Amino acid sequence: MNPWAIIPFVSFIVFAVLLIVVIPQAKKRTNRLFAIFLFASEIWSFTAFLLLYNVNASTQYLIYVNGLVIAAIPLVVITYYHFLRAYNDKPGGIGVYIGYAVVLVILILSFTGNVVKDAYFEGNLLHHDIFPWEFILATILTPFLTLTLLMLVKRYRNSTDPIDRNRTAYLITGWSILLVISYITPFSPALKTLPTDHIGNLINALIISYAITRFSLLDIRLVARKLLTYIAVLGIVIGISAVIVVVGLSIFTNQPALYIILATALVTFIVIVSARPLIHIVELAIDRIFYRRTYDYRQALLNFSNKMGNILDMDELAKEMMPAMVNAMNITQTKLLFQDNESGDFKVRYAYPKIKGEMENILNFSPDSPLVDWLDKKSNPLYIEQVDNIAELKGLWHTEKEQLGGSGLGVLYPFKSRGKLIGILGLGKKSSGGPYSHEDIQLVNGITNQVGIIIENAQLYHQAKTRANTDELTGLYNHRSFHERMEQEIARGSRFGGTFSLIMLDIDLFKSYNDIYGHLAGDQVLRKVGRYLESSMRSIDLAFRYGGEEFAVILPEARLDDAYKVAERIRKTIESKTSSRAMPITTSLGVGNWPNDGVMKEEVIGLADAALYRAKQMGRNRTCLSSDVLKPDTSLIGVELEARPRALSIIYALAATVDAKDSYTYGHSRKVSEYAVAIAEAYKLTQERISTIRAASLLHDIGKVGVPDSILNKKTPLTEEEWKPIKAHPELGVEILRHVIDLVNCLPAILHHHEHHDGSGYPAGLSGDGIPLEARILAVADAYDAMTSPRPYHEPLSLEEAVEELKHCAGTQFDPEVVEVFCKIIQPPEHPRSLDIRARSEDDTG
Amino acid sequence: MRVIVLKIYRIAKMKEIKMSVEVELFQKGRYQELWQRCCGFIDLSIEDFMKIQKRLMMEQIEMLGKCELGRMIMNGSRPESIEEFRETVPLTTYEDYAPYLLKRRMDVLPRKPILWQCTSGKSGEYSLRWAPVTARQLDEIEQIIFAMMFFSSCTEKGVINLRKNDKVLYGMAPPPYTTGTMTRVFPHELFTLLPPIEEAEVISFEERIQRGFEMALDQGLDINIALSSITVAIGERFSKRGEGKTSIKSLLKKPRAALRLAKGIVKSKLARRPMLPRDLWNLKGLITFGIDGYVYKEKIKEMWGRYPLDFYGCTEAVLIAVQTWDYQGLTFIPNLNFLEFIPEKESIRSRQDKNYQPTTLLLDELKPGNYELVISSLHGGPFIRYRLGHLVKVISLRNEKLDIDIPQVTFLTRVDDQIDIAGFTRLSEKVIWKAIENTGIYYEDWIVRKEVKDKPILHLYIEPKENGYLTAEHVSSLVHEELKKLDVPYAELESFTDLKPIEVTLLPENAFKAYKMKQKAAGADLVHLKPEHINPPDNVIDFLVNKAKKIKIKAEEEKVEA
Repeated sequence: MNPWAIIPFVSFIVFAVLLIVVIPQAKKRTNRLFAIFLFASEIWSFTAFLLLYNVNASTQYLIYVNGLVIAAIPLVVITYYHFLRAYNDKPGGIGVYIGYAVVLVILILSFTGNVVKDAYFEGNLLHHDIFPWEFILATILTPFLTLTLLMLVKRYRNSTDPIDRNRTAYLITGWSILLVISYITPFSPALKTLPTDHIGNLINALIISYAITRFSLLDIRLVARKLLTYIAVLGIVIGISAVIVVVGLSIFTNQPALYIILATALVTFIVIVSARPLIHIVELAIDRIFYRRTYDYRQALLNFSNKMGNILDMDELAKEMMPAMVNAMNITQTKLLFQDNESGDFKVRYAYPKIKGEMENILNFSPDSPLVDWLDKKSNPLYIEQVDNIAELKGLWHTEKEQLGGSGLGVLYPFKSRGKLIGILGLGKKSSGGPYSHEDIQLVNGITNQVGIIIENAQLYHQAKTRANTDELTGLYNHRSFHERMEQEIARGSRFGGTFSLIMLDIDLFKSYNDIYGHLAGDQVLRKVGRYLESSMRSIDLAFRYGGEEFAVILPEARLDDAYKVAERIRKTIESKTSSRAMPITTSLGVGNWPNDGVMKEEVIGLADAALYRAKQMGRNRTCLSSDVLKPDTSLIGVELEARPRALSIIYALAATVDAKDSYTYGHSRKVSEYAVAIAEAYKLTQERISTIRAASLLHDIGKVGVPDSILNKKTPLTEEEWKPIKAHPELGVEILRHVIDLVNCLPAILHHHEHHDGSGYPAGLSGDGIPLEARILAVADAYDAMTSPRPYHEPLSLEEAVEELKHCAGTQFDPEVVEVFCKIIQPPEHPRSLDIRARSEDDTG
Repeated sequence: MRVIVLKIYRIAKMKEIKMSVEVELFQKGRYQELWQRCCGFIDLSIEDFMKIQKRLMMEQIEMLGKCELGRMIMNGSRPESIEEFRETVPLTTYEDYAPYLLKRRMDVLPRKPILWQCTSGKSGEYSLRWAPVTARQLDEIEQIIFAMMFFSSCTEKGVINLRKNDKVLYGMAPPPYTTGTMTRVFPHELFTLLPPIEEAEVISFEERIQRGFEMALDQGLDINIALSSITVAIGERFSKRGEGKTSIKSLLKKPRAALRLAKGIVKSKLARRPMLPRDLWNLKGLITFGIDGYVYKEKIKEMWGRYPLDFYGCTEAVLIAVQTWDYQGLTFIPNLNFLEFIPEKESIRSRQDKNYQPTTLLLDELKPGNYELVISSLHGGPFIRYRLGHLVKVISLRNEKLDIDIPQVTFLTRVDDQIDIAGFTRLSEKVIWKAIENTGIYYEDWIVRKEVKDKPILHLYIEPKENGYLTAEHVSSLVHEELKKLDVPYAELESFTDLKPIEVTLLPENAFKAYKMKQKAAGADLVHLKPEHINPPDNVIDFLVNKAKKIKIKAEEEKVEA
């Protein structure tokens, strides 16, 4: 047997197997024509085998069979061309008919002996004389081969679908191999006697089969890489073996050639076994050639994919993943979109390269967007170009489509965890302008498949971290992160130069607000102020809740005068947003600057705080700079002098209004004020609180302006209905006074001066220490004066009787401690102050 | 020379810019993508269909809130959900829009229109009803035009059998009529139109059909897109009773046409029947439009060798539903109009009591039955909860055969075009037409109206083609029998009351041609050249019965008519 016959025989077997696989699926036109191509190839291999098998065959037999082989060659080309037309959704066309006609003609001519003139073996090699048919055949077949290539290249260029491009690329590779090995080698003198042309056809058929059945799995580059790798390794192995044989034969000239070949086979076997590392080295080298500059990035991305499990921070994930992706895939940008907690929209949280301006305006998908729905349901990437081709996305709004088109993104990937969409990765278009390769997609697929759970972990970690640094009530950074950030800013400023400013903000009279409206309302105010702060500052500024009702804002790269502008904007925003129906919320702000006010953190905070205090002293609702702190106090005195008479004049005018309403209570407010101030002094309260108590005492009954005179002057006991306006007078008083900013401090005492120690009073039913001290003092002073003054419904009690009554009610109606203090003031003759009070009171009443 | 090259390059570039994505995909042979893009909606689940509807409606509400027309119709409200929209916005009719649309005012509309289209108006008030079409609507319509062409030619899902330069006979009415809007978006550059668009634009509609037919004989024909009546008329040219034989002879001067005719003659002779269009052309696709599509369905199949693909549209909604390749029910299009349905009983009640606001259902709430359709335009169109006055029949909730999960419908009739017979039944134009057609009599045209003498009767006025051996009584009993077969309540009427409520008057020869001539002479629009089939006014009947026979019809006129 001729060993060269093995090649067409192996081809024959392989084609037979392929045919068996393809025929059952030959319902579709493409598959059917592929089967016909395989069948033609089968004929070619089989006839070639018949031709080469027997070197002793007669010349006539050889001429006859060789004629069949020659006719089979154009048949293979035409059927291949026909198959590719079908693959491109084109009808056979006139070309196919001409091609088949040519085959028929050649077959007839072959049978009649007009193609092969002579055929014979020299050794195992077949020689034949087919002149000029080799040239005629080449001329006829070249247009078909050229058209085939053009069809494939056109399809490859037109297609944007990576899978389709991948499949077409397989076909182009197969075609190239077929052309190089099968149609050029017969014309080279060295190979023309060998049946190597079958190898080309065989490889082509195998590649097509692979592409048809598994086209979505491998990229042509991958195939080319693998192919090159194995060819290189095979070359090396064959080379080594050949060298061994040649060297062996030259050294061991006496040994039979069989021994040398056996020894070579043994060595080759060892080489093949140890070739694995060689394959790896060759693969790396070829990868570098293929991927050129993106190689290192691809490696980085793959490494990142391996170590991804350790990443817990979203910032770190974005920092590691996004630049690597841009570089590895040679794309213009990447964006990471996550769901916004408040609106539920998917917004851009990270972008690489970073975008100037507002990130969230670039892309924003509401949770009911069909795009979000689609990404949630599917696990596939969404190519922006394909959006209009997907029926489920026909509900996209025009603006959403414009957003997508203007985003510069080419594809969106869903990130999922436990089947739920948790994020979207947007990849920019290829920098080269072409479509993504199949390997690009595989690379991203590999990462996105793992990254979902990582993102969820990172989000949880982020939430935990945020909670640690965030004030839960306002959502701003907390005190701890304020100090951290101050240190970071100082470190940054020290290293790179530059400056930053600090605003300290305090809500004016917040304690009073809490006392009047309760702590829940106070919390609302804190939340609102937090929101206004964020909306009034620049995006690079950072807001903190420093503690209580005090806030801080760090303004990187801002000078003192710039910071003053921001502070004023904040102050005005807060003031303007206050509801007209509630007590006005104003703020006092102090502004400091690093490094002008000191290089230490404490120095800057201290001066900003001092400026804030100065703003409070100057009448609140204003901004002071750190430089104001060093100014002499004359201006302050002026302000205070200006402010105080104005406030007092208001108070006296209001008190006079109440007293004028009720002739019986004329002078009552002033007397209550005297008693209350005496108690407050005995308590050693600050001057500010004493002033508050004084004013509150003067105005405690201001709400009675809303009580009908008939009730106020009624001599008989009041009915339940009549008690209602009486009981409402503290609240009405607050309602009247809350607009006077200077009197806001008095409001808690006025509101609660009818609360009872045991909780049975009104309007809030507070008890014990829950009642502000000012109100408790006012209650005792008010009751004492009421008992000792004439009223329509009773005669005045004596001092002793009144004191006795106070003591009697201590612990139920009055705070026993306050009663005790008051009794000490009013009763013991040795207490000079008490006498003063009594004397003054008597004078007044008289 | 360089200047010329640059100019050519620029023109080529401009064309490239103008080319729609659909055309580009078709030219590049990316058929799978193209199918997904244009026909993918038939694979939607009913839930996804409704999501598209509701979402696009919310976009439309946003637009309406910003325009004068929208604020006027919605009484200044800005509904925040579909439920609120349906609860607060009243149903409308053309009268609500007439003050703006008849003047073609663009400043009041949600989006500036790219063109205006029209149809016949309300007699005595306005002759034409105008409706604007926006650029975005037109883009969506283009996709549906492609879908219709693919459906008309395919045998299985996803297979596109049309190819570039296929020859198309385009017999739809020209702009500004609705089918003319379709002409605007028809992908001329992909196909060989018979006659070419430049030629077609300068000749009359009738000449266009004539010229297209001649060219099809010469060059071949792959796709026929035409009004049902045109499709039938062309088919009848070949029949023995057709009247166009002389013009066919003149075509013999062209060898390719002669060859094609020879082939046709041989085929018809072998089949022992008159020559039919299918003997000459092996059509890839056939699309027809018009209420008579249903009536002539079998006839067209017999003539042309394939069923016509029907679609449902109108001036205000452009396209509403299309048939698929099983040629049965029509499938609604999700993204052109927001659809609501008034159950037939509610519809009747609301027409009897003008103050009654009927409740509407959405597509996913339907059950098989008859409904009046209410549409709201999407993509910036003007109509809001607009009663089209069309009655549709939901024949099934899904298409089992083609696995389409969207309710399947057929167009029944215009609500006003129904004749109530003694309260027993309401006969539509479609049913009466089908009955006449089923009798097998050859006729020119017909009209019908309800007349009350001593009892209510259906009075049919018909112009027979072979007047001589037909009598009114004969036609009457034939139509009566066919109506009984088609409409069960009609049959019951006779069995219960022994009434035969039909009377026939045979119109004189050429009565309808005379009417058409009269209308042409009066400068009437294309849509007013023929009388309405149902309940035409007295003067029309008077003309057809009494005056038409006095008018002489020119020979040329007859030829064109054929």
